This record gives sequence, structure tokens and C-alpha cells, in this order.
Amino acid sequence: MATGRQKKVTRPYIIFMMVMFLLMIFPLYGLANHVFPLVLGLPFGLFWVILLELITFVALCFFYRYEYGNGGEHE
Amino acid sequence: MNNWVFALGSMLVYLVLAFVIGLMAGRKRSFWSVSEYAVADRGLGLIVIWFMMGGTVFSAFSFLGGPGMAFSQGAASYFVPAYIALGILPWYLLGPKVGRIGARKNFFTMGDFLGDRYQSKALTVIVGVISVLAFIQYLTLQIKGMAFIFNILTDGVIPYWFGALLAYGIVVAYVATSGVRGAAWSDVLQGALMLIVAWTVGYYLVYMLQGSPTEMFTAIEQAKPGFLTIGQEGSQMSAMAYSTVILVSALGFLMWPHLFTKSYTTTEKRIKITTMAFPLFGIFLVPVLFVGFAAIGVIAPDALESPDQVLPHLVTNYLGANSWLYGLIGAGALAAAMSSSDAITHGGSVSLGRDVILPFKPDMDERTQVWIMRIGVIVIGAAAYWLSIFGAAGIIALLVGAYGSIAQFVPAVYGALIWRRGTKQGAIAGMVVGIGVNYYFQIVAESTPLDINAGIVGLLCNIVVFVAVSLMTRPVPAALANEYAEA
Repeated sequence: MATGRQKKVTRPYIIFMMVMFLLMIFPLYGLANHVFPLVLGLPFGLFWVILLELITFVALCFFYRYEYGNGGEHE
Repeated sequence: MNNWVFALGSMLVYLVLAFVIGLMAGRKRSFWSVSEYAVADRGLGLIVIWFMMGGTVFSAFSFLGGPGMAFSQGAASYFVPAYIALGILPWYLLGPKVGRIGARKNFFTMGDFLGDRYQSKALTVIVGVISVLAFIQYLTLQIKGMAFIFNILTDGVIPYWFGALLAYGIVVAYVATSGVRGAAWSDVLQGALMLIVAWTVGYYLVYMLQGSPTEMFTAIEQAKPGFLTIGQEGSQMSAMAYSTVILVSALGFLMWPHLFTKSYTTTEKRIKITTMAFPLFGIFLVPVLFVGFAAIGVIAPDALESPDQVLPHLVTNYLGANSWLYGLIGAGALAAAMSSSDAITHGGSVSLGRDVILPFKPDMDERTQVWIMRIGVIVIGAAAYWLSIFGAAGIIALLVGAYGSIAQFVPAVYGALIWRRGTKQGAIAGMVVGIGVNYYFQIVAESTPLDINAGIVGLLCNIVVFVAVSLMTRPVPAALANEYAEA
């Protein structure tokens, strides 16, 4: 069975997931659908995708840390 | 020394290493246990799992299809890093559930999972057959990639059929003997190698051919306005097609049945840590697209038989002086193709044994099952090899085509975990309709309504049929439905 913290995480996690999806596809992706400005040499549309991936990674780290604390590889 | 000798040498060194590591991994393990073969007694380490997952993501696509797509379709290629990050996200919630149920009930495949939830052997067999076919389709693409790399980098000295046989033969050998452990450990070598190669080569080509990324993208925008955006004048893909291809690829991502098998090999916590790595995998793929962009303005589009040949063409025509890079690319590209092939070949053999053959003879003993899976490796391997040497189709079309059918498992799988009322008749009917519709729009029809991806059209029909038929048929026992919904 899922533990208490896991259950609490479910709803915010689903919302986070939906937001990421929506930012990656149209119409919202339309905000980023430009070549300029180039960021780090990348067209803005590609930079947007990478930025969202970094945000996703950081957010996942936070979710994980909330559920399991700082613990290492203990099961 | 000639470039091709150098390339051949480094590819052979790499092949020997991969072979030895793959074979060593299975030593001193029980050769006759289904559990050891399929899920390594559920005890693989985190780093190894991480590489195994990553290895499956970075396929021949990374060195052939990916650059080709950037070269020929521009911004449409952004969908690849986009869906890899998104596709895994639901697994953070679903993976632990699937893993818990699987460990408790001793499952090995997605077929086991669906068959038990919907109380239907037929469903297990359908899922098994489709998975095996999709696996074979996916494998042919990897094998073609290996053969192609071998052939072109050795100046044609190694013929197409022999390169494929050599590289894929090694994969078949270590998967058949060492099972999941062989696949996993060789992936660590392959994953590390191909990441280094992709980044080195991607940036090297950009700086050598185009000056810098900034100059490159500015020049592309000037020469081909709209090419680096979606759904505008000069773009290669409409906004609807782009959005729906991301959706269907992301949804389909979790449905690759070997992901299920792998969730049974590990713990909940590790499933979650693995999920965290995927957005990074998406970022790792970016230099792969750089290779394709770097070729724009350098190679005339009609100089290539197919856009997939961009990287080999650049290597053989513009890297003449640098034999080190030449050899490195050969080994890296082989590694990318092989690390996907081993996991997929393994997954295919487990599905074939558990889902397709076992339901017809449920009293089979364990030793026979293991034999069938090991022979399955060879059968699937031979089929894929034959198809890749004699069959023909573009790499991207194949990949998306396989994804199309696999994505049709989505309603049944999600239904199992969140909807107690889903029934076997509903799941089967939905799947059949979804696959039929997808197939029709992908192969037969010229275009889809509103330019929506064929897989999404199939999914919409699939969901409607699944829900409608389920509501009209008798539900599974409440205790069973609850066990899945509340896992």
C-alpha cells in the first residue's frame, strides 16, 4: 500500500505533469515558437524544450525528497 | 593508416568488449531460473538500471534518424527531446503501483499484468503478439543502423549482411546466455561510450562546419525562414501534427512492455530515481540534432538517398583527416544501436515465452520456459535480421509505426489502475478498434482529420469503445479490481 506522503503527493504531481505537457504542446508552445532570441546558441523553441526538461528534473528531485527525505539507498 | 582500417579496428575492439562484459554478467547465476533470466531476481543496482533505460532511449535513432530529422525537418525534430521528458512522468506514480502488484503476484510481463486484471488469457496473448511484432519492427531498425554504419565506415569492405550479422549476433549471444544481466551490464559500457561520442561529434561538427551554434542557427534562419519553427510559412510540420506526435509518443513511451518487466526488477524507490533521469536523457540528445543542423548548407538535400545518412555522409566526406573521430563514431553508433537491441531482444523473448506460448500450455515447467525464452531470442533475432536485410522502410516511419500500435495499450493499462469497471471485453474491443484505426490512417489513408496524429485518432476511438463495451459487460470481481486500483 502507498504510504501517507505518497498519497499526498499524487494530486500536486498530476497537476505538475499536466502543466509540463501543456507547455510543451500548442497552443502554449506557441509562446516559444520563435528562432530569436538565440539562448546559449540555441533557437528559442529548442531552448524552451530544454528549459522545461531542466525544470522537470528539478521538480522531480523535490517530489522525491519530499517523499523520502534525505535518505540514501535504504529501502 | 587508412581511415576505414582504423574504424574497423575500433569497432572490433568495442564489439569484443561488449561481448565479454555481456557474457561475464551472467556467470555464477542460476542458468535455469525464469526469474533470474527475466528479472535478475529483482536485484539490479541503480546505476545499471539507469544505463539500461538510457540505453534503450538512445538507439540507432541517435546517430541516424535524429540527425536526419533535424536536417530534413528542422524544428519538427524538437519533438524527440520533448516527448522523452514527458513520456516518463506518469511512471513516477504508476511505476511503483505496477511494481508492487507485479512483485506480489510474481509477474514478469505486461501481458501477465493485463491478463490477471481483466481475467483474460486472450488479452495476454494479444498484448504478447503485438509486443513481439513491435519489438521486431524496432529491432530491424537497429540492425539496419548497425549494418549501415559498418558498411559505410569501412568503405564497403564489410558488406551490409555481414556487419549486421556480426554486431547483432553478439547481442543475441549475450542475451541468450546471460538474460537481463547481460543486457544491463553491456549497456553501461555502451551508454557511456555513446554519450561521449554524441557530444564530442555534435559540437565538433558544428564548430568545424558552421563556426558556432549561434552562427549556424542564424544562417539557417536566413536561408530557410520558418524551418526552425512549427506551423509557420516554411515550417515542415503543422502545430496540430507536432502537438499530437508529442502526445502519442509520450503516452506510448510507458507502454513499451519491457518497461513493465523492468519495474519488476527493482524497488519503488529506484523506479522513482530512474524516472528522474529521463528529462536529462532528453537534454543529452540535443547534440544529436546539432549534427543534422550542421549539415544544412553543407550537404545538398538531394545528395543523400535518405536523410538518415547525414552523419555517415558528413563523416566520410568531411572528416577525412581525423581517423580518431572516425573510429570513435563507428564504435559509438554501434553502441547506440546495440544497447537498444539487447534490451528489446530480451523483452521480446520474455513476452514470447510468457505471454504468447505459456497461456497455451500453462503446466510447463520452469526449465522448459527458460529454454523457450532463450530460443525465443534466436527466433526473434533471426526474424529481425531477415527483415532488416530484405525489408525496406524509412527509419522514422518504422519507429512511429511501432509506437502507434503500442500506444493502443494505454486505455487498458491506465484503466486497470484507475477504473474498477473496465472489463476484458472492453479492453480487447478497444484495442482492436484502436489498432485498426491507427493502421488505417497510417498506411491506407492519405491524411488524417485536422492533421491529428494517426495514433491519437486510434486512441480516441479506442477509449470510446473501451468505456462503452466495459459498461455493457460484466465487471471483474470487486476484490480484484480494488487490488489494482488501490495498489
